[in-house]
Amino acid sequence: MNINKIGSIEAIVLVCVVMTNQILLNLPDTIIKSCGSSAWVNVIFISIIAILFTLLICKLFEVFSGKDILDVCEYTGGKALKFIVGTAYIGLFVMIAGTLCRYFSEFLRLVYFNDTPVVVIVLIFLAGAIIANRLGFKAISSVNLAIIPLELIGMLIIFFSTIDAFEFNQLFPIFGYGINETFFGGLTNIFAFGGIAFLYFLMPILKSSKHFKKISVIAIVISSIYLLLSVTSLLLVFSYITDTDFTLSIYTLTRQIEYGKFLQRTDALFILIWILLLFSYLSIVLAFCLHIFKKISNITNPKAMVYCFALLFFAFALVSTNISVARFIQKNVYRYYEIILVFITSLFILIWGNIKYRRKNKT
Amino acid sequence: MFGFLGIGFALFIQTLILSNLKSFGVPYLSPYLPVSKVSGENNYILPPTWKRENRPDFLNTKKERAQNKISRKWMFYKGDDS
Repeated sequence: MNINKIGSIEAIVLVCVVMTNQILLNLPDTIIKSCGSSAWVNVIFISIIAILFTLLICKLFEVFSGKDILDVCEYTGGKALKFIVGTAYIGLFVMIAGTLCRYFSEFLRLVYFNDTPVVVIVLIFLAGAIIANRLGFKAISSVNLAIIPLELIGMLIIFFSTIDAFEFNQLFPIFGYGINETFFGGLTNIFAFGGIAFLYFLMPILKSSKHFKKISVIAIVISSIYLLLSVTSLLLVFSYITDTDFTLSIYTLTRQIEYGKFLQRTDALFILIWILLLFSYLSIVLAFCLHIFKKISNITNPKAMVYCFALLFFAFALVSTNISVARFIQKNVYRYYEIILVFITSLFILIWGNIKYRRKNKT
Repeated sequence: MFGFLGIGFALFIQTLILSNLKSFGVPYLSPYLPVSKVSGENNYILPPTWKRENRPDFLNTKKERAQNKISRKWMFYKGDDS
């Protein structure tokens, strides 16, 4: 797919869509379970690390202005490395998108569509993503601009509407299961910022690559605030959240919102927003998969591959037999896959590229 | 039949189509989608003529400015001291 150049605001929104979607689908639940009452401290800690990591990426990309991670791979290790890293990223995107799609579809089936097979719900989501990709990347990035403000305002509404139910005793003990668990054990929770993976591919599609640093930092800060609000409100409202399994924890939070006798079921509005967000998310991931595939294979018309990648998403969505398996994949498989690929391997390649560039320029 | 999912799907596709639509090269939903840098000047509420200094971004004009930064120079004219 030929990705058109996008402006700064569109780029920020693009990264935010990816991050907020991952946060929405039970990530706060996972963080609270691993850290207990210190989840909010952990979120602040991992947010700071994510911001520092982003600044490091920006610094390393300075010498490769207008290039993405695949170009850096080609520069350092040749076409073989480019192919390996590209395939690994496609695998990661397919895995995350498939699992999230299945997870949300299972949730929708539980809440609204008890008689509809989950395959049908997954197919509808993928149909939306396919149509969006046939229309082009410009249309997708425009739609994101309309959806993400709704999502962010929605989160603020959830937070401020549940203030009455807050129990501040829940924040104590401040270090939850211990300092070790909060800062060292909880370090793996940085996979909440898996959207950083998209930052590696953002540079060539920006209208002006000099705004890359600003865009990245703003996107990460917005996502951190979103994550902090969701974790804090969950922790303060449900005292028993560390021992229970909610299908979609933020949805349970929205059920608490009541505006008098008249507006009692505001949760439906949030579900509509989340449905739109998932459509948008799948479209973006599909577009990036095509973009990477185009780069590693030199194919001239990648638009025809939309159906193939959608089919891959569909296949991966069906890998999980039920919601527990989807949750297991989220907690134990793609968490470590993401950390190894996004936070370790890609950083190593960037550092390697920088060293090679400096050595070449010295001689 | 598909309830909220159907409404969400239709809304998403409709917004996609609208944001992809162009009339004489101008995006149908501009200046809101895509956001242009002079959104404030060509909004629902128009500022006074002398404040509209830039031409709309979506028109892709050769000259970006429609008038000088301070078009009403006489407002700031202090007169000859001599």
